[in-house]
Amino acid sequence: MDLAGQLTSYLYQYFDNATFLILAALGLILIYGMMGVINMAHGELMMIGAYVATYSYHAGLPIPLAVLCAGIAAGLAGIVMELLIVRHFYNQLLSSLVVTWGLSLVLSQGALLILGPSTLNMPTPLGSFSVGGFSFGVYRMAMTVVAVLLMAGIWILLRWTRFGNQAQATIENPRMAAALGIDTRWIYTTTFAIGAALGGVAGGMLAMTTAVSPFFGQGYTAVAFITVVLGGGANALVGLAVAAGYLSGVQTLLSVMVNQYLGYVSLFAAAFVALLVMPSGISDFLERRRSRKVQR
Amino acid sequence: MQASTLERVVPGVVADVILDVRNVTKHYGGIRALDGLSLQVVRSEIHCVLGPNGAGKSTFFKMLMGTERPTSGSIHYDGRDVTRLQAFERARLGLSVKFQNLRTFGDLTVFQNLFIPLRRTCGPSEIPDRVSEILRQVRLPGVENRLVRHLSHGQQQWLAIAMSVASRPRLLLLDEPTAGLSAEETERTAEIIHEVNSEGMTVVVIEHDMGFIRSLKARTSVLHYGRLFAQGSFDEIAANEHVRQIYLGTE
Amino acid sequence: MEPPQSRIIAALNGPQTLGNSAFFWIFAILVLIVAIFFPFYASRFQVITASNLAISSLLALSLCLIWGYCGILSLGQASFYCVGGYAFGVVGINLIESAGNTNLALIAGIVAPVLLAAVLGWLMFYRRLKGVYVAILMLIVSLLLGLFMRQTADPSYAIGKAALGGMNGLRPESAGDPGIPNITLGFGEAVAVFDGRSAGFYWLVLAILVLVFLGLRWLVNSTYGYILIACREDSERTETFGYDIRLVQLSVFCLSAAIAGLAGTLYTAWGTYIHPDGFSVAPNILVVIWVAVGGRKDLASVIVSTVALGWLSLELSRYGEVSLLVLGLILIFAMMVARDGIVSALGEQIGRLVAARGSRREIVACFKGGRR
Repeated sequence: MDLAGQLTSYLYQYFDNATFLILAALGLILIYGMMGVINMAHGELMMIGAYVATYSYHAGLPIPLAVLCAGIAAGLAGIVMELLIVRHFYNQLLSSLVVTWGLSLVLSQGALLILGPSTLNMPTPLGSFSVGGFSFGVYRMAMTVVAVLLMAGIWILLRWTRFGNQAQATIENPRMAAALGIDTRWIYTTTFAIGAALGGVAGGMLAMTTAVSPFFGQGYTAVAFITVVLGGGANALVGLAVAAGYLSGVQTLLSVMVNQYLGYVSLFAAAFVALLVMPSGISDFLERRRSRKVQR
Repeated sequence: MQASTLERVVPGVVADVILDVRNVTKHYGGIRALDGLSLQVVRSEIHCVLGPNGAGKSTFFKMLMGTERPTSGSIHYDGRDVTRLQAFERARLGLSVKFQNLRTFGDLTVFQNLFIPLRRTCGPSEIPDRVSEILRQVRLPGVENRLVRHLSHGQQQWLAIAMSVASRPRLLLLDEPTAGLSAEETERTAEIIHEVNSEGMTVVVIEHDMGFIRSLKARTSVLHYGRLFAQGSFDEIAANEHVRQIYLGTE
Repeated sequence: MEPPQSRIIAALNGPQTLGNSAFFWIFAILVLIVAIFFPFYASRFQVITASNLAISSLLALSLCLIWGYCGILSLGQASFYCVGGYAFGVVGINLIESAGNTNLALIAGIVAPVLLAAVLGWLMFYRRLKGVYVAILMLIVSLLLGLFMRQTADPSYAIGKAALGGMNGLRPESAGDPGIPNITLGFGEAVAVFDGRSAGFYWLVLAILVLVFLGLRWLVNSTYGYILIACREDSERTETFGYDIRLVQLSVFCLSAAIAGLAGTLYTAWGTYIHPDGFSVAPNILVVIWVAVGGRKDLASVIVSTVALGWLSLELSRYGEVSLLVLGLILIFAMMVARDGIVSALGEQIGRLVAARGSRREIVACFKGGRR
């Protein structure tokens, strides 16, 4: 137990917490930022992903493929949700909140009926290494890398692809976009599907670190949402990264100093305080600071 | 200091300034909607504000009413710095606004719509009489129980004006009161504005319609890129070559 | 001068509520009579259940007030309910022996959630937080309170004679101390005890429900009600008419917390039981379902749907754990077909039928203020 090991352990926990927040929030941010819908069923999409990954792993699929299956399954579920229900609630924040909350209830209760209350487990792959007497899982570090890659992927998708350009135009002005010949309905459905698939991938990956049950997702939606909101809309991906960094910093600090429970509570408390200081989120706040500096 | 600002308003005459906007700047992200705007409005006048799209006119009104805060600069109303006051505090000091996009309560009746502004100044028993009086003034008699979203666009415009006039403000801000109105309706709107002005209200009007501004015979300020570009009587403005280039030239 | 009874009726009627006709009031009085005589022809179990449904209706009214009338959606309304319940229990356990009544406990059950609402509301509304953030923050507050209460099994979490008890629920600290008391009103020897399983308790809850309903009807049709509706429709515009909307939102939020707290107090006394699970997702979503399915913009509709859905949940519980699934489906269905609530939509239809058959005078009374 030496100092290097101790420090590595803090750093490891910090990145682990931040990764968790980013993975949970990634799909949500796309849907909220682009369509003005807060998908309260996001946690349940993660739950679907977690089940699919677990079952396909036990059926003999290698882990990357199992995670991919999780993403596809959640994406398909997302398409069904969008076509049947969510499409009627665009840009009606409170109504969409309520209806997707209803969806989350139906999905989790449905899973409870079909799959039963018992939990499933998947072994954590990739083994571990140790520094100064502390042992660290390689898989969790791999998750951090994947989270960063996914963020980069979304950035590239929105910034550099035809779909991204059309999607940006659709958020800016849906009517104008439609007039320019962009199929905005298709854009919405696709965006929702991608957001859902990201949730599924996140769920599939997290399934290897925790037990999977019908209420797997219930805890995630609130955490994911608070990270998204705190990130703000001006530059959503940067906001997300900063928000996750800040929140996991507070959480890690208090978990290490006091206990896990207080770490979790402090995450929300920190988010609450930050939101009161910056009601429109971190990225808007940074943007404004910058413009004030430019003026001086 | 005070005298010199007044000098600038109407040279040689010491005027009574009700609204003094000093060097107001507003940024949205990287965009400067207002860029050091300074402007004075004299008590009891009608004052027109015009400018091409994106010149910052509507932002200017939001700053005045306090629904948004300027990035820098100050706003003085009736000799008092109101820059940091909330919108409701400014309303209580006698400011009132009609927004560009009407902002009437569409799912409520005309009576309910007028109830909200009226209730601040009079008791519930007086309200029915005041409602019919105001509706007569804006040429909308007898529509009390209609749902607002069932009114025609012109009727909604006048209702929106009626709502902002109802609290008897001292400074009335009208953002495009004739948008979407026919020539005849526009004429009536001008009459309404002259009527409330003759009762002592100072009126600031944002407009695009040149004929309408001419009929108001008002002092006119032109905004361009968030700054005061020109000021004078309507005829002076209409004759100004630079204004023509940026604005009238497009007509 | 009008006779006083017609002035009272006039104050209770208005465009902000459905059911302003004589037909509605006669029907309401008939329902009330049936409800009053319920214990004489129903089983003991049915009366106990009816008490619970009336308590749920109170909770639903509290959300209806802020969401339907002022546009503030709270996904954590059950937190006020449970905080009220815990406050009643803690004060009750401590004072029932020395005071002989639960007057103070009852007050604590209302004041504690109001204080919580005042602090949260002040933070949220005075910072002008957006509506969705308020909605979700309230859910998070509820979940965090639940998490806190779950880990209070340790005996050190005790307030006087009351141990918070963690997952066992609130209980007396030692076996000799009294448990959560029944509602006991009065002073000294002259007290009335309302056992949660008795008809007396049912009548008490029914009376409170009727009073709260009438009080809210009066409130939402008063000037204050107009301002609430204006805030719901467009709060920024309302502010530019000179109303301090932060104060309006804060005050109605506190009032709603008081009603929810009262409901929680009655619930705790009803079952002499309060548990951390009350803060979890399920109770919070249930309140939203009752209100959304009934029609958030009308008080009476919300009571009807709460009673109907509460009864349905009980019936469904015979078939295993399907009730939440079914209620979730009903919520989605309601949001798809009648955004403003199924019961409200039906009520408007009935109102139109009655108006078509009734006299012209009634048509005017029904539609004055413009409910379609």
